[in-house]
Amino acid sequence: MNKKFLSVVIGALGLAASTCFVSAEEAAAPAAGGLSFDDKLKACGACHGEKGDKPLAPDYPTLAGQHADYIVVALQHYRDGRRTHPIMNMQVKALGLTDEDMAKMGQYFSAQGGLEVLNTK
Amino acid sequence: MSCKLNAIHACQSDKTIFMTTRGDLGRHRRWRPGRQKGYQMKLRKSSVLTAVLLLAATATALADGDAAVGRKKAETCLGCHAVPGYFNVYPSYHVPKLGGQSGKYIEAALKQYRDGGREHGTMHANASGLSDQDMADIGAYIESYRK
Repeated sequence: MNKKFLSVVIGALGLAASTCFVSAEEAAAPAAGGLSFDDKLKACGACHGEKGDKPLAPDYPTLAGQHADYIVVALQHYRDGRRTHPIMNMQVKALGLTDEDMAKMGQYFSAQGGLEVLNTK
Repeated sequence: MSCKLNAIHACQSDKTIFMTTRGDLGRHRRWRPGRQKGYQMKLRKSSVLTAVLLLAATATALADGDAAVGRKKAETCLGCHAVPGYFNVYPSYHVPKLGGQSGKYIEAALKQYRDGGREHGTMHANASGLSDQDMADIGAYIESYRK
């Protein structure tokens, strides 16, 4: 009885934590066991587009072409609570992003064509 | 003021309200099948209420931005965000590229800098001097970089 209740709660939490995931259980469950970097990258892609160029909602940012070091800082700030977004704060923790993951994500998205520096014209 | 009116106008022509009121109709039909008159009154009231709430929410939250006006208001932004390779200091990292972001993202980010959802001294100071309309205009200007 207790076990059943616990698994329901865990399941509900997993679902809630992954509104954006293609596959909720896949992403939320192995967090304890360790997700591969590709799995984590897929989680980013679910909301920002595979290459970071197709955000799901109008107020989600494009990542494609963004500076790698800025992406890392943004992720660190989400992790540390210095930048708030209900989904992002949760994702960074649920995915168990390491410093290395963040660096690789920054490199991956900055290598895609997309964003540009504004000009003064 | 004219921009607010525009927003309301755009909202009225939007299908969202139509869909929402129809959604209400469906619910009331299921809940109160036998009471035609009361049901219609109720439906009407709730539809009007929904429409008014939606209009109010849309008019305040989604002011229409003007890209040309935004370009003028963005002069301060350009001081950092239009310099290729420009660095934030302490800690040191590239100032983010903005060209190609959506106006709605820019608006949301500026509001967070202003209201405390994002920590950054300079951006907080800059955003604190902007009205919601300023943010919408700047957002519209930055969105104009999209191809």
